[in-house]
Amino acid sequence: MTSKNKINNTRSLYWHYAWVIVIIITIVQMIASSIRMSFGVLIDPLEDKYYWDQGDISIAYAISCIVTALTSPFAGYLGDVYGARKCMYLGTILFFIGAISTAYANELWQLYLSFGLILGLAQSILLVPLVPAAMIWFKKNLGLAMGIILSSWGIGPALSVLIVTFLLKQLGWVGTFWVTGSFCSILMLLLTSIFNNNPEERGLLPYGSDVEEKFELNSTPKKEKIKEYSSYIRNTAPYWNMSAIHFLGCVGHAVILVYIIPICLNKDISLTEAAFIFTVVSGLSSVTRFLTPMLCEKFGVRSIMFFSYLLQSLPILILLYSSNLIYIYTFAFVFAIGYGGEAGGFAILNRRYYGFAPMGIPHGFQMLGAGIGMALGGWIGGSMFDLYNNYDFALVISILASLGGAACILFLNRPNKLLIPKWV
Amino acid sequence: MNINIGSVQKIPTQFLIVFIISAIITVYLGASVAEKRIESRNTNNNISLLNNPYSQFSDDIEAEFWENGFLWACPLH
Repeated sequence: MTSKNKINNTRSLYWHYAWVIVIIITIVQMIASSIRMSFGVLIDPLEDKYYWDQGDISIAYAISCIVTALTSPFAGYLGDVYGARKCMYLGTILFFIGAISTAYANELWQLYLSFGLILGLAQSILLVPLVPAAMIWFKKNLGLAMGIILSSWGIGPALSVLIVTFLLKQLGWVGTFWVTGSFCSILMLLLTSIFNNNPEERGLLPYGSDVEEKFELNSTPKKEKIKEYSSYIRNTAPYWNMSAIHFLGCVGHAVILVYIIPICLNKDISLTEAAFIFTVVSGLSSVTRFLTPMLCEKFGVRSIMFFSYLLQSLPILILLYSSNLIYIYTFAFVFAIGYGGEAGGFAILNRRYYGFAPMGIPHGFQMLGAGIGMALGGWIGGSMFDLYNNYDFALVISILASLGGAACILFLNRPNKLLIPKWV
Repeated sequence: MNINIGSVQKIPTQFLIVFIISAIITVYLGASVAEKRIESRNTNNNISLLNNPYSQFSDDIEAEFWENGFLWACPLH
C-alpha cells in the first residue's frame, strides 16, 4: 500500500474511491435541489387545480428557502456528529415524505407544511453535510472535486424543470410527485448504501495522501470533541466573515437571477431574448462554477474570490444604464463569470483555515448566510419595483452588496496556515 | 484537547458591521414599502367609497401581516 500511495502521489489524477464519492454527492445534490428549484413550473398547475393565488402559492417556496437557510447550521452539526451517511438516509426519508405529502396537499397550510417545511428541511440535510463529507476524501485536487459538485447546482435545476414539466403533462400532479419522489428516493438510498463517511471506513487514505505523512483525520470523532473544536472555530474571525461574505454575494446575484427577465422586458427586450440572456447566465455560470475551485487552488483563493465578486457587481452598471442588446449580452457574459465564481472558493478556504477538522458547522453557517442572502435579494427586487416602479434601486443594492463582499474578502486572514493547528 | 489557536478575535467586527447595515437597510426599505402599500390602499379605498359607498376594500393591494412589523421596527416611518 505504501508503494502504491507513493506512486499515486506523484500523479495529478488517478483512480480512487474518492471519485465515486464525488459522483454520489453530485447526484444526491442534483436530486435534493430538483423539486424546489423547479417550483416555477408547479405554480400554474396548483393555481388551476385549487384556484389559489400565485402569491399564496409562492409563500411555500419562501418557507422552503427560509427553513433550508435556518436549519443549515443544524444540518452541518448533524453531519459532523453522526456522519454524512446517516444524514443522507434521514434526508432521503424526509424527501420522500415531503414529496408524497405535497402530492396530496389540498389546503394551503398542507402545502406549506409538506413543500415548505419538510422538503426545506430535507434539502438542508441533503445539501449541507455532503460538501464537508467530500472534502475529507481529498488532500489534493480538492478544487476539481468541488468544481464537479458545485456545477451540479446549475445542471440539476435545468434538468429537473424539463423532467417535471414533462411528467406534469403526462401523469398529472399526484403522479408526478409519486414518480419523482419514489424514483429519486430509491436512487438516493442505493447511492447512500455505497457511500462512506471517510476514506478510513474503506481502509484508504484520502486522495493524494501519502501513508508516510502524518495525517490528522480521525474517522469517528467524539461528539464532545467536535463541540469543543467547534467552539474554537467560532472564535476565529473567518468563521463569521465567510458567512457575511456569502450573504453579500447572494444578495448581489439573487436580484439579478430573480429579476433579469422582468428587467429585460422593462427595457423593451423581447421575452425570447430575455429568456436567452437568462440561459447565457445560467449556462456560463455552470462552467465557471466548475473551474473556480481549481483556479482558487492555483492562483490563490482570495484573489479569485475578489475578482469574482467584482465581476458580479461592475457589469450591473451596464444593465443600469444601457438598453442596447449587445451591451446586455456583454453584461450577461461577464456577470455569469463572476456569479459562477462567487461560491467556488469557500470550500478551499475552509480547508486552508481548518484543515481536516469536521467542517459541517462552519459550512452550515456559511450556507445560512447564503440562504438569507438569496431570500433577501429576491425580496428586494420586487419591493423596490413596487416602491419606485423600476429596478434601478434594486440594481444599485445588488452592486453595493457584491462590492461589499469584495471588500470583506480583502480583510480575510491569509490562508497560508491553519488557524487551529491541531485536530486529533 | 489542548489547542493553541494563537490570536483570537473575540468580536467579529466585520460580520457585525455587515449584519447591522443589512438589518437597517432591510427595515428601512421594508417600512417604505409598507407605508406605500398602506397609502395606496387608503387612496384606493377613498376612490372606491366615492364611487361605491358599499365598497370597503380595495382589490389591488391586500393588507399583509409584515407591514405593521416593519413600520413598528423602523423609527423613521
